[in-house]
Amino acid sequence: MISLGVLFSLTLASVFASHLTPYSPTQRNLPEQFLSPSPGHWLGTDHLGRDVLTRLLYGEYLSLSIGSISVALSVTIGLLLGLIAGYLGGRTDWVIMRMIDLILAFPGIIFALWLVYMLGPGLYQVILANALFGLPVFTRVVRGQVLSLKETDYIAAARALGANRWRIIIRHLLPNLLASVLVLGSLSISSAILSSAGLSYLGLGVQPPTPEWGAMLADGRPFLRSAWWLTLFPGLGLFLIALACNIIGDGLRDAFDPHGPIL
Amino acid sequence: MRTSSQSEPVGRPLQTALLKKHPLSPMTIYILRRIFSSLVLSLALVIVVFILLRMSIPGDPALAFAGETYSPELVERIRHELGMDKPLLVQLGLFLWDMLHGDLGFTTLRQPVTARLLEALPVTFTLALTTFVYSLSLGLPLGVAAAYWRNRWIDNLIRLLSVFSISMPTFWIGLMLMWWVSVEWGWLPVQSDGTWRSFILPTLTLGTGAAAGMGRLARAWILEILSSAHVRTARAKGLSEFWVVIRHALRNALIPVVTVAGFQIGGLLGGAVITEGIFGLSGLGTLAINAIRHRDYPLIQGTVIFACIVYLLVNLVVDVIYPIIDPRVRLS
Repeated sequence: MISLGVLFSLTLASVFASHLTPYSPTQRNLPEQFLSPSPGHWLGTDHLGRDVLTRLLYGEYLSLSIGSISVALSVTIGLLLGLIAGYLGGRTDWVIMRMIDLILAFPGIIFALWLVYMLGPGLYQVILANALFGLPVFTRVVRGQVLSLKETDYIAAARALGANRWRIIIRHLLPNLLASVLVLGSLSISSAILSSAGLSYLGLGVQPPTPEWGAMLADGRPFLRSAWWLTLFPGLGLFLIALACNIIGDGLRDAFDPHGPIL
Repeated sequence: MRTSSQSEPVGRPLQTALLKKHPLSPMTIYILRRIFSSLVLSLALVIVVFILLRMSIPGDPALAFAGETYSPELVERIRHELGMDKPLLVQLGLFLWDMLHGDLGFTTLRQPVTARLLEALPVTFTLALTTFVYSLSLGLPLGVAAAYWRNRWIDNLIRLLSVFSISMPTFWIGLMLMWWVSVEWGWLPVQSDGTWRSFILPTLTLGTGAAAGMGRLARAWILEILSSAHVRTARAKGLSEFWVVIRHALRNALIPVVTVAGFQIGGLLGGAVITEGIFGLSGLGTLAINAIRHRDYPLIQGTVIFACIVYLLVNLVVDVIYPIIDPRVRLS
């Protein structure tokens, strides 16, 4: 509940950022550069005199959006592919699963780097890279569950009553898959947020001057000795959001799947 | 987890049938099949990476080779030299042929790509290995402790710490460690100086999250094994809980945990891009990111293909070793 509260208030703060802070997230203000945290600038200012708290609030909106949209895309495509592969089987299953194997053959961030190299750096490219990278887990889990569900008696009964395959997939299989996909999705949001911040840290994600937490960390790195607040706070923000998402995910898993692995 | 008594009735007839049909042992057949599928996957991967890169190269790679002061004739000559004026399938065939001979082409600075990759591999390999050892030696005891004192304050503390570690962005851990240990205290070099000391902070950076993941996994496996029949028998015989956990649960949990750790660390061989960058280690990750920044198309192509093949190879080795060390998964 605490995590839910934290996530909710952080989300609200990012949505209403323009009402909460008088500063602009992108406007340079060189006379005020490198101000340490003070009542005027709670979290200090950066090398271009921009208020760190303001940039954090605007950046959070971006991070949360990237995380949720990429996971939503992974979930939707993963559900579709997993359902088709598991239910239809045969060649369709083979082709889909080999495509998934291909994505899994890329270690770690290399897949995202390759995609971003081909498509160029930017927000949409990062979302696409994250969505495709998260796809195999959802497809595999959904396919696995469909394979076992389609052998159950109630599916046989539906088939005996003359339901066609799409009706079985949509009315009978889909509702049974939603719980596990929801749990997996909530646990994936934090890794999507962290990996998109990682790409922005490398300069391949959201481009300056748009505030993004990973990019803010990269900007603050050269000033680690003199302006510690530039690296401490964006990282702390990322940590808090990821922590809240992970705890909520754990809670959802316990609620939906009490007999699952006791992690 | 399946026990040997469960798998035997199903496994035996199949095993006998296979032995009658093939002169090779089922284990050899499994290994050969696994090697074959890895080879096919590698080939498919090379083809996909090559073709998609060729179809979507941002800017003409010949321009990158020609440098800033180029003439159309020079670009045309470079295109001819690189074989880019040939049909795509011919280019792919030539690339595959060269690759089989260990030649991945030249970087835009006219250095052999293979040589650059082989220079970077030992750094990344060392980092992956130290991370593996560190995360295992930290994560496993924590997982055992959490399982032994389950639902007590130690367990809750370890679980809380592990969720904390998993939620921390790796690059932030790296920057904070660098700030405190290198910049403030001056204990270790800020940037790599080529000695073993350069690997300490990157290992801590990468290994903390990995150790947390491993601890969670070890705890989960041990708890699952603790509820199985053979552990109940051990308890009934009067064995103390400590020895039950160590002798019966940990020994059984060790194999899957080490295997998952192997896969995780295999992923690091693909390049711990950000960590290597933060600490100035010139491994595969740094090579990949520099290739992207300089739009060095042959180098990015070579790095992606090389990283994927190394990763597939590590997975293949883990997959092949797994049934050898754990008889329960044979033929399953």
